[in-house]
Amino acid sequence: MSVEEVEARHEAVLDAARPDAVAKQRRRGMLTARERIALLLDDGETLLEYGGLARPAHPDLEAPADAVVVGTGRVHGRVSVVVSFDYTVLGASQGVNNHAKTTRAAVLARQLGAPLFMLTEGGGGRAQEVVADFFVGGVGLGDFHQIALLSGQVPLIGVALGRAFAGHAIFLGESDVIIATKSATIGVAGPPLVKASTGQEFTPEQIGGWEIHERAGGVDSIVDDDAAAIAAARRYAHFFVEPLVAFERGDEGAVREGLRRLVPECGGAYESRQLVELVADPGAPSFELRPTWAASVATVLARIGGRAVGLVASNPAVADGALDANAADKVSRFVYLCDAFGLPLVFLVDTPGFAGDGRQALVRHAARIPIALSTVRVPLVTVVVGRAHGLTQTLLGGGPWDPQYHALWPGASYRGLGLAEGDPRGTAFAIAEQFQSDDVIDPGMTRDLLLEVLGRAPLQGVREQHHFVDPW
Amino acid sequence: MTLFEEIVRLHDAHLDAARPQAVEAQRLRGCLTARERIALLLDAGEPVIELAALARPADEAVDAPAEGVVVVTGTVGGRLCVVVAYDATALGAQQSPTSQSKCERALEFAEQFGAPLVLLAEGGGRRANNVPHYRERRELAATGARLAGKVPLVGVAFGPTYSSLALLLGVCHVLIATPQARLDLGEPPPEGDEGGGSAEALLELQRSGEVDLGAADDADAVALARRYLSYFGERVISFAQGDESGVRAALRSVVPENPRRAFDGRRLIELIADPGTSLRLRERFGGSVQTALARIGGRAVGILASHSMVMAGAIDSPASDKMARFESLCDAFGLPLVFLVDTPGLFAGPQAEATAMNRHSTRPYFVMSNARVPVYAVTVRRAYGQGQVVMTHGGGAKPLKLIWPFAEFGGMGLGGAADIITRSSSARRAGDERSRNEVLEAAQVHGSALSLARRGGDDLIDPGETRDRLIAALRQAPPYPLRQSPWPVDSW
Repeated sequence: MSVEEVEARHEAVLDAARPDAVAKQRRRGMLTARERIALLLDDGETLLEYGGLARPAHPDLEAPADAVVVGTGRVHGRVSVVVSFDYTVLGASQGVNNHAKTTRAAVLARQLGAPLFMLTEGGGGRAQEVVADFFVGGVGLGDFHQIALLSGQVPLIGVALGRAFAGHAIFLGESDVIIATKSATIGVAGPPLVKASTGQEFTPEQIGGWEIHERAGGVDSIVDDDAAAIAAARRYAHFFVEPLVAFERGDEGAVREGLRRLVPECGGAYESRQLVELVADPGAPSFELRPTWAASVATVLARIGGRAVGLVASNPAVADGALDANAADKVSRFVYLCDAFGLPLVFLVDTPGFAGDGRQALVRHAARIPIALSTVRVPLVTVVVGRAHGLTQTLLGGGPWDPQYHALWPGASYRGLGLAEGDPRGTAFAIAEQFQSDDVIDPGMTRDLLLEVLGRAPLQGVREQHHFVDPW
Repeated sequence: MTLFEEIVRLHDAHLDAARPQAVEAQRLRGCLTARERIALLLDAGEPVIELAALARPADEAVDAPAEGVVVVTGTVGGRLCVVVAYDATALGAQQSPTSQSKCERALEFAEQFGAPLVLLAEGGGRRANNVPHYRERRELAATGARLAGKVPLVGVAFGPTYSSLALLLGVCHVLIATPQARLDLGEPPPEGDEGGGSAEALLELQRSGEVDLGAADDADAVALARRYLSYFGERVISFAQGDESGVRAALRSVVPENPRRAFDGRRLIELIADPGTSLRLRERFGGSVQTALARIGGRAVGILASHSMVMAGAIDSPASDKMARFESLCDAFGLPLVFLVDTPGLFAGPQAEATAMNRHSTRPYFVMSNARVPVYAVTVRRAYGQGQVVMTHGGGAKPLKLIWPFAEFGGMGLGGAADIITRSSSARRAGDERSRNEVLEAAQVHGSALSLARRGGDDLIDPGETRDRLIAALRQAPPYPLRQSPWPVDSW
């Protein structure tokens, strides 16, 4: 055994030694597993690889690194664990060693307190190797379980970059966030399995193309290609890795004017995006989760004064901002996510209340909001910019939750629960006079207020007594 | 009238005997009064303490006996229990600051004493001309949610329910409803009640997963509440096993000879449970998995059984949500979990993905990964793919794995697996030139009950012995504390 052989063995698994594999990804307009990692990690950062020499457990199969690259490296300066599947060999199918490597990755993430990036592309279990052994838990088959245990302790970032079926789709389902390219297809069963179980033939796109998941709320963010997906993963992770970044205030006269004009100019039916952009740090990246699903409420990661926060903003432009069963699920999941990682929650309320009926089990879904909020330890800040009608008076960051600050715009109105339409007790000033809100503010000063309040809230890290981030 | 007589008079005025019109109104609707419901719920002959019976609204002109809500403490099955009964005959049981205080007092009391809370609900909404709700700085659903991790919460809807009261029902761990029930997060219409639901509407509420248990009428609903609470009272009750030869024979023959034929998972639950002890929750929702509270050898448990008569037992998004919630409920209150597995896997194909299957299917997995109750998995027949993982994953508490002789294990249905392996390019690359049948036979041997029993399953058993095995195992299970996790049971 020579030193040369050590070098040769390692070089054999790299892209340079595998021009065919590289060409295969190029033809499909995609990057290789290792190129994706290079893009994900900070500039100049090298991957500390685990199991580069691993090969399939099945003696007759060949696959460099057993079709998955696993390692650690820095993302935004924070040590992270990366799992990047290599679709060019054996369709990145998950054999025994492949599973063992993802299990190892999950354990490493726990030991290092490191975010876990799952760059998925592959068809799920390797039929030749993993036949029945999940039941008895063979070596390394605990990855689904290990990742489940990580939820709420370290950020889990799932990225779908091509065919992501069966086990790959499950990894995504376990993640805090799912980012998918438009060429990705996601499904708990791929075409052969669907054919085997239903007799019907479908293309991967028919089973789980991005439009299907966009409508279902199965994916948080849909982007054009690999590079955009990796960039989105970095942008998302930044909120969790750097809870506070340096921030210098400039002249915000335009922001104040914009806030003052927001409601009058559109007669109330503004888009949540406009309001979020005005209250968030100008020019700083934000990340909206499931923007087109249950769009009557927006859930957005953003920065205010450099502080990472979660914004729950009514969107009167869709369904008048009314909350249905899906919207309630969207809010409750976001509350668990932000609370787990110490991100303060900002409510921007303008909604006529809940809409729907028993066919959607609306009451049970709506009840998820108080249940999620009852567990929260992060500060809440609430600004009622328009209507807080019906139960949303109290539920969306109202009095029962002891928000760190509660403010009203002058045009805010409460209605229902004892207030008829036009009841003078439901106007902003009447509410403030009864001390049921901390202040009525000039809309133009909303951002200034949030900066003041959040600047007084202590930074919080990962919750010690953790609750998993509910996948739904 | 002496001062003492006056006290008696003040109290008696609230009782049904003093309110014949209210009683008559409920009779006409085929309903019981709030106090009759309470009387049916609580143990007969045991002391009952009413709280704040004399509470009055600020406005002296308003006449709402007990302020529209009767709050008592008493016992159900010998165990302390707090009951909040809304009285729709008292101004529609609409909420005022005083009635809200009464309900909150009940919730606090339940928390303080670790007592289950039963909410007997009808009516609600905010009483007009009162202090607006927001002034309260409190919300029943918020208080209820804080309680949802601490004591059993039982909700019963007897008629139209509105607003905070409807939402509080949603927070409850179990929701029982009569055909008169309706759940509305809005306010009652000012011109008066829109009337109750219907038998059909109740079925709809059950199919959507909103309601756990449909009741025939008020008395049935109260009986179901008592029944439900019985599993959260005495952990173990004495149980003498009689002659079970009939059960043993039935267990041996429950799986049809034709492996492609469906069988009734509900019947299997009844055979595994002590006779007459199982109570199915959300039967009509996510029906491919049936969930039931039951007793085995006298010990209260939760049972999850594949039900191949619905979607061949495939786990879809509703079934996933149903499993996750039932598992967290049992884990929260220390009830061991028994899985009876016969599943072809997760629901597959475009229809499945249109319900965000990838996310819903991980929910039961997440719950079980964090669960701490003992888990018992009996593989009855098919255990394929991720369905197998979801149904036999004990997470923190490694399950005892028992295998019936008809069991078959695979990463997917074995026929499909054989097709895929024979066709796959990697197989050709690996020089595998076996025919489909040869591959299938090899998979059948590898995934057979005996093979799995030899490779790490805990035992291959005669189905007729299943009850005996579970009874023995549950006797050895440690006496878990009431509360396993600090988190509330999610409402979905």
